[in-house]
Amino acid sequence: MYRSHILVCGGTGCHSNNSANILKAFNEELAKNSLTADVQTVQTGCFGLCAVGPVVIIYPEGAFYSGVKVEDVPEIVSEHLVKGRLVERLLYKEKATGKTVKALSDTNFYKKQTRVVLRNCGVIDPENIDEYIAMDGYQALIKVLTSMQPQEVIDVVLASGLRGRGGAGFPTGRKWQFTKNAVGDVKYVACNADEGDPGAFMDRSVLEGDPHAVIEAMAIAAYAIGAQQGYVYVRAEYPIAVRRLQIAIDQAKAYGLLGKNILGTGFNFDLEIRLGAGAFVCGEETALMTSIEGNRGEPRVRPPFPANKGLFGKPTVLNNVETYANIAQIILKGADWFKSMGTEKSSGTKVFALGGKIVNTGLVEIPMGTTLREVIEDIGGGVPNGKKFKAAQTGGPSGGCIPAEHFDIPIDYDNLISIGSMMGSGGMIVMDEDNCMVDIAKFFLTFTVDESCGKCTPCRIGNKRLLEYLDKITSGKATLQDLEDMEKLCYYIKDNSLCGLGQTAPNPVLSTLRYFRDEYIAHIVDKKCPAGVCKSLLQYKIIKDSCIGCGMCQRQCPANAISRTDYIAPGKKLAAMAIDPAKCVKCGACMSTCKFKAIVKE
Amino acid sequence: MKSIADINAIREQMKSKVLIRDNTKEGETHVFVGMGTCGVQAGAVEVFNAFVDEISSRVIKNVRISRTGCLGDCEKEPMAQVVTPGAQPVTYVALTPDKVKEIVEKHILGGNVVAEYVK
Repeated sequence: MYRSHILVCGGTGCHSNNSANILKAFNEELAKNSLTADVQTVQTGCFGLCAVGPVVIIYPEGAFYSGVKVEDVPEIVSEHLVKGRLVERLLYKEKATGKTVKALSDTNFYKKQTRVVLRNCGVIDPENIDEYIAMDGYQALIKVLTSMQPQEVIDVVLASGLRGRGGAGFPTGRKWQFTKNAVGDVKYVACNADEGDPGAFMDRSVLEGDPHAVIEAMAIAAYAIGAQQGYVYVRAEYPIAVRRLQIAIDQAKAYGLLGKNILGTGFNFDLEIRLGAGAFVCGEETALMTSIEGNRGEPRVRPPFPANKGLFGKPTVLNNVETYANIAQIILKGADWFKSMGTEKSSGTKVFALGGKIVNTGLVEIPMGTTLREVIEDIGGGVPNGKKFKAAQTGGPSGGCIPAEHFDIPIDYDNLISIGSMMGSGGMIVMDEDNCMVDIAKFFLTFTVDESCGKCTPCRIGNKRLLEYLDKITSGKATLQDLEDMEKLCYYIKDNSLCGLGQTAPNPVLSTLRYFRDEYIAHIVDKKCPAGVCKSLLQYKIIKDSCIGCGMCQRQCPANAISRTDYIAPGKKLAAMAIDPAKCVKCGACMSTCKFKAIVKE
Repeated sequence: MKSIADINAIREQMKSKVLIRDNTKEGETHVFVGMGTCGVQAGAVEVFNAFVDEISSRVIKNVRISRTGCLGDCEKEPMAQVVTPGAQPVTYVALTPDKVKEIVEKHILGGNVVAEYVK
């Protein structure tokens, strides 16, 4: 029996921070101290607090070490594991309070979360099926296969109120019911793991940390609708997720949890991975299926919906990774348990990837109905460097901004839509006073213009024109008439595009227009960028009375735009410097060099 | 290929092995084992391990075991403090793995303080 477990995060974030070598160092160091029989090392999925990685947790204390380096490993082994003393200097310190936190479960970041989807992430070894089984894994599949009719399964999912976590929020049980009712001898289940929103990594973390949860749920879905074959469509840019999912599928096959005659019950189900090449549009359901079929990933007109005519023209259930990750828990604990979390119309929890101007960058899971304030201030630790919160962007390129005035809105599907944003797959990017909202809209639109598949005209050409309007605004050449025309174009694109990508592409523009119209006006009328982001509207200036004439800025300037004037400020010995706006490239090098705060941008 | 009985057997066998990673303990009992130099010298490592083994092998939930510093009465080490919600902390002294077994059985599971080992 192992007396201590060392859990080393093997999610993508910590992995890029050398966590694989930390694990190796632990194994070597344990061997040196003859502790191999007493202490188990485990590589887990993402713990969530990516900002302070690499993360190492040691049980039974649950000691939470953050920012661990390979050099720290001998000290942790000799102090903590041999002598039993926690290594204080490496324990996680809560940034807001400065307090050292000993156990993972004592941090505000974890205390305020409800982990259903992420329950095994950072707890089990995703490459060991036995650990998943220890956490009641595959019990839901056993329950379904031995004691429930397919219709009963669908009734439970329906009663739970689970809605699609991919963003649109369609009730999962209804999707399953339509597919079950559809006529056809061959049916498919598919999983959408083509997570493409900038800043979103929930699905990746689930696949990396708990891949069996997705496999089990897909088998349950297959049983419910009468399918024997499933596909997981995952982007090739997620190599760790792909590898762990493949290992999990192989292990499940070896245990007879996938394949023919599963667990001797006569039910057959097989699962394969299909790699996506990273096209954003392939996250749209019809484009995703076209891509699995081996064609160019382009959407098609709906109806017919995938429930009737999906993959290879057969009835297909397609759900997102996070949706599937809820299923086994719902089957085991019941619809009422699931409904007890969240709000009336949005039950359960939602995982968000917190990013941008926030202290605790990482992955959080909250019950639906939690307010934005709790997510950002309590769990996220607030905006760093004492800056003011301006807005949170949810839903990626399809979503919108939530401004400070809606800070106390409970987060669920319907509330977010009512304020012009959307749940989306769960990226949450926090912005502070230094972010220009026109620039943000431009950023997302540049993304959708790049990712438009080009099949339909409103999206292909409309979004390009929309981006040109934004370029015009940020370079100070637009008129108020342009603003009006731009808004009209937004609605035209929304109403006429073929698929979700085009229909939602103008959302970042519309929502910033709704809450931050004054910033647009400032760009157009005053030719100023209030946040100081849009370069063409900026001017660097030297305050001549603050300049001591040291000439540091002149030496740093790559464009030779700074020269000495004749003016000597009172009390100074040398003549002040000045910037020639015609030559200035606005790189900001002078401003960061000046020790006397004599250079400003306005 | 495994049967349902096989899967359930793996589950029972693995449960005790991963239990110490349970993070969501509510209304939990907290066991602190004094592991200062004095404690370690007197055998606190064996006592600590005995607690972990007992709790894990019986699949007892809601118990957290921590190492802590010197509990102050170095002469009576190894010592451990058992803190149950709503009750005064109980400090046990001069522990051995056998006494730990009894404490887990009678106090943590049964709710009765083992008075003879208390300071």
